[in-house]
Amino acid sequence: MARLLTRNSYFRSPITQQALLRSFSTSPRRLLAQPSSSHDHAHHHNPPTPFKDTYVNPYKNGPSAIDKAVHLFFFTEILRGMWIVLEQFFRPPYTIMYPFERGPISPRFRGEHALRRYPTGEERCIACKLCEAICPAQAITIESEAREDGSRRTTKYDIDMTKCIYCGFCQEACPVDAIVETQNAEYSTETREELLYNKEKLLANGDRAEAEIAANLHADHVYR
Amino acid sequence: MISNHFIATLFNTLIGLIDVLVILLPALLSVAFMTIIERKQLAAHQRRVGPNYVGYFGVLQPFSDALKLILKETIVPSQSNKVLFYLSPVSTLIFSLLGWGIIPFGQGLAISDFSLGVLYTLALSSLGVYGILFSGWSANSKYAFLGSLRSTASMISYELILSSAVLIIILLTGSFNFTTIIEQQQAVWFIVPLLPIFIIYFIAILAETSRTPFDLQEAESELVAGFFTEHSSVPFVFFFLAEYSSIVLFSCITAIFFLGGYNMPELFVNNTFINLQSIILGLKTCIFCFMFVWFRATLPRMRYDALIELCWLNLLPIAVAFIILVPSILVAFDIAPY
Amino acid sequence: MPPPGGFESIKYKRNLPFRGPSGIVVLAGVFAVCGFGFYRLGQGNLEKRELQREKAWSRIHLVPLLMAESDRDTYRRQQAALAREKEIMKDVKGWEAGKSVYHSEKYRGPESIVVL
Repeated sequence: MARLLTRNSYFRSPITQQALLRSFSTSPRRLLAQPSSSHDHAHHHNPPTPFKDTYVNPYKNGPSAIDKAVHLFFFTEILRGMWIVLEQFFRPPYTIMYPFERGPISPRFRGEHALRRYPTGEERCIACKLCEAICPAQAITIESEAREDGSRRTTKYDIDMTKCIYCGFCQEACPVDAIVETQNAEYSTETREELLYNKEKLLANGDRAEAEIAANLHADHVYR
Repeated sequence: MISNHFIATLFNTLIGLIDVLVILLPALLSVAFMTIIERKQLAAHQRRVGPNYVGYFGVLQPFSDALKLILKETIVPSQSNKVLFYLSPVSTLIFSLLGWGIIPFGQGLAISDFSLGVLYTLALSSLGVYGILFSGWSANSKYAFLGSLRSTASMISYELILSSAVLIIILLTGSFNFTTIIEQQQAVWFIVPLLPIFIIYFIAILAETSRTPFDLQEAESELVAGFFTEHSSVPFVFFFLAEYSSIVLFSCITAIFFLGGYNMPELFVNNTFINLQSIILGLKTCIFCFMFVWFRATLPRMRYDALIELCWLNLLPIAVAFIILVPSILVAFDIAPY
Repeated sequence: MPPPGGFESIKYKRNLPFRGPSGIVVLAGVFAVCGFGFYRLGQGNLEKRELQREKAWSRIHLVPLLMAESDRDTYRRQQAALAREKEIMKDVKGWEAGKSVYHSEKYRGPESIVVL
């Protein structure tokens, strides 16, 4: 019995070792609640040790041997998982067909940039250069001078979309809500030069998407 | 006289060639569609849509895949054994496709209704291991070699289980011939008396074709690609075809062994020329192809040593036990077939 | 603030109760199915034995007919070979066509049959 212990001990827990010893032992059958320590015979009249009195067989209230055997050989848990997968087979898929259907986009989505105008048509940007200062990638380049009617406006407002990281700091920094990020993220081009936006492009973006930008700003302004 | 004989031989050869093509071309088509079925079915199990761009519902996807692979450049490693490198995918595909030669699509309607059909099938699955062994070894690369050794070891281990399960079927019928086995199942489909053996057999088949949960060898995310890492375009197409062909072939053989082949209840007399029996065989094959992909969608991969341990320590004793049990039942109740 | 009484404890232990039939029921079911299958299989095998028996007996019953047919055929061929031999060797002196090479009178069938 000791040999069995040492040979298989590296992948058996002590409890199953005891179970094995019990099943292979040739001594008379002992009750389950008693450990099969071999020095028991000589110490009948000793006071009972705490371990022997409070030993609880951990397998007592679990599944029976037949249950475990059947669940092993007919892999019932695997069949249960397979049934779930089969149910999923008959359910509709979640896939969105991308170019024809799009998923929902939040009003805070940061996409292509746009320069806004006031409802009268006057461009909002007053060349304060706060956006240029805060841009982490230094993607915005601004040059400004006084316009004919004396107001402060930009002459050059370039955003290098290949440097831009779409963080939205510029739209947070702008005091007049001139530079905003629209919800458009599908503006890929075939040459790199087309992605270096200048003021006309940004203004055109703004004109095209003004209704959408206004609606998004209205939806989000309480949080800004 | 001699010219008559010559013309007769030529004619017979031509008929034989047409026989082979009539079975082989649809088999290759079924293999091609098996790939798209697998992808669509896996997607359906995972609540998504598989490839649906190429044809209607993506049915032309395998052809576009094949076209892409053929147009790629074939790269042969310079330090590899060139002969074996080219020979191994070819031989794997040949042995995979040869198995279609004895499947009966009606009573006696096979390319050759070989009286030792089952033995032929088992021999082919054993020979298929050669292709895998040579492919990884000849590529002269560490990972391909390891993958091919693991593949080989698992395939030859599970061949034992496969042969044991098939042996029990043979014991029930007393004949190696496929048509006899199918005819014998008019009494009862063999899945009914041999349900536990069907389970063992299915596990063996999953391992023979290196499918999940036993596909650590070609785990697509782990070992790059296993034994066909170094093979690029056309050799890769051959391995790909050979794998799916063996999936469809083994599904067909499972349908023949366990589900009654082309048997169906005689509801009406079929006076047309439509071979209803082959359609029934096809439907039963589809059930097992579905189960292959279903297992792949459900189960995670087993670790390689757990795989080998499962075979030699767990399945083989069960298989041996059934080999002892089933003839004892047959002899005890005197229901042996002779 | 948390609701009064605190939050409920989070269930982190694995909870996959097995609701299906217990082990003995499954085992009994498999035994029943396999037993029924073997019963039907046994009937099929017994019937196959009867069919083999019928095949064997029909072959046995057919043997006299086939033997008689082949005897007739053999006799005809033998006679034709004898006639050919007589025709070929008609000028050779002292040749007895169809003479047995053995001295005893016991009838032996022809050793070989010419099938042209």
